[in-house]
Amino acid sequence: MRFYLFDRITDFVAGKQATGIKNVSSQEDFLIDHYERQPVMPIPLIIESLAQLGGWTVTVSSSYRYLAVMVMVKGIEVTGAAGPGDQIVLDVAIDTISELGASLTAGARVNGNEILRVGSIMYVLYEVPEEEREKVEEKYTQAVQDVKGGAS
Amino acid sequence: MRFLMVDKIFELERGKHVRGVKNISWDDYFLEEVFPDIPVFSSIVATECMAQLISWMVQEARDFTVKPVITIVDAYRCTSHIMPGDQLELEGEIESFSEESVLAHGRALINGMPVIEIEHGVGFLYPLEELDPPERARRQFENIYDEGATINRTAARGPDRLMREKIMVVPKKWYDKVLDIQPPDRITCIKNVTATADYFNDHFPLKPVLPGVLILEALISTARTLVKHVLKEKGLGNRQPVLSRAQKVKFRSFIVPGDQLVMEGKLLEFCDDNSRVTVKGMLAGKMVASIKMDLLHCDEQLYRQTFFSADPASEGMTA
Repeated sequence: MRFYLFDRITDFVAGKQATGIKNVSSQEDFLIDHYERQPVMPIPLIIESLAQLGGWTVTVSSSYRYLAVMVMVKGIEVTGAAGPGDQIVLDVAIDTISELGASLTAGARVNGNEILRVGSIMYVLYEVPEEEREKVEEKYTQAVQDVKGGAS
Repeated sequence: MRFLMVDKIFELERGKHVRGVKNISWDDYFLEEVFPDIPVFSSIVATECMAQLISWMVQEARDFTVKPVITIVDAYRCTSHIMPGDQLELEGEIESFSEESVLAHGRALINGMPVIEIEHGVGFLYPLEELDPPERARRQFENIYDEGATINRTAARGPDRLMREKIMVVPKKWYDKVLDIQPPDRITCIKNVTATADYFNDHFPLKPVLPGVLILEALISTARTLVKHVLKEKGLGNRQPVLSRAQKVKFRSFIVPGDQLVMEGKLLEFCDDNSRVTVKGMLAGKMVASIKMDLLHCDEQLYRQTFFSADPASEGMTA
C-alpha cells in the first residue's frame, strides 16, 4: 500500500484552510482484516489523512519554509464510518501558526454527514535550509499534481 | 505489488516486432477464481502484459522519448484461461507508426498455443518524461532485454493437479458499490480511485493514472454482476458469466486518484448460454471509457472444457 492518504485537494486558502478528498476503494489493504464482515477504513488512518492534508497546508502556506511533523492529537470524536465506495471529504483549518508550531482543527464527512471531528492536531515545524526549499517545493507541487491529477 | 508485466524480452526487431515472457506464479497479485479451487491469472490483466511488451518496443524505437497510452482496442478474444505455473509467451507487432500514435496487435500463448489475442490496438504517444524518468525506463528495459534467451515449454498444465493445492486466493473486487440494479437489463456501479493503490508506483512514477486494464476489470465486473443476477433469477445460478470476446474498447481520458468512476451497464442480448453487454464508464457525467462484450454462461464442467481442455498437455495429464 502507498501511504498517500488523500487523493485530491479541492480547496486551498493559504494560511487558513484546505479541503481534500480521500476515496475509499474495496482494494485497500487495510480492509482485508478491518473488518471481515463490515469493511470500514480504520479511524486512525482517517486521522492520518487529515494530518497529511494539514501538514501539506502548513508547509505550502509557509512557502515551503517549514515542514510540519505531527506531535499531538486532541479531542477525537467519532460519529460515523466510511467503507468501500465512500468518498470522504476532509476539512482542515489553521487555528494558530508560528515559527514553533501550528495547531489545526479538522473534520471528515461522508455524503454531508460528519463522521469524525478532531479538536486539534498540533505540529512542530522544522525549518528547511534555504538551499533545500526548492526541492521541497518540487516535491510538494508534485504532490499536488499527484493528488489533483488534472482531470477536474 | 509491482505493475511490471513483462519479465523478459527475448526477441526484438526495432519498431516492428517483439516477443517476450510473463511468468505466472502463486505470488501474483492478479489471481482470481471463477469457480472455487481453480485459480487463474486474470485474462483481462493478461492484455496489459501484451500492452506493456508493445510499449517497450515503442519506447526503444523512439529512444525513450515517448510512451504509448492505450486509447482503443477493436477486438479482444480469450480462448483459454491462465494458471499459476504457466509461462505466458507474448508477441507484439506494430502495423503502423506515426508521430502521434501507434497501431499494433498482439497475442499471448501457452506452450505454443494462442490463448488471448488483441487486434487493432491504438496507443497515443505521450511524452515519456512526463510519466517516467527516461533513465529509469531505459534501465528497466535493459534489465529485461535478453536477446536470444530461450524459453522452456515444459511446464505441465491441468486443473486436476491444481485441485489438490489448496492455496487461498483473495477474491478481488474491481468495483466498490452497486448503486442501482434494475433487472433484467440495467445496472450502475461505482469504482473509487485512490492514491494508496500499489499500481500507482509503476503506473506511472511521475503521474498516477488508473491502468486501462483495471478500468476494463471494473466495467466487466459490472456486467458480470448484472448477468449473474439475471442467471440466478432464471434458476441458472450454477452458471458463471465468463468473458470470451470484447469489441470496441475505448478509453477517452485519464482517470486519476480522487476520481469516482460510475459504470452503467446495459444488457443487449441474453439467452441461457450467453449474453452481450455494453458498459460505459462516466466521470461527472462525461463518458471516459466504454466496452461491448460477449459473456459465456458456464457451469463448472463447461468452464473446464472450454477454457482448459483445449490444451494438449492437460489432456495428456488427465488421460
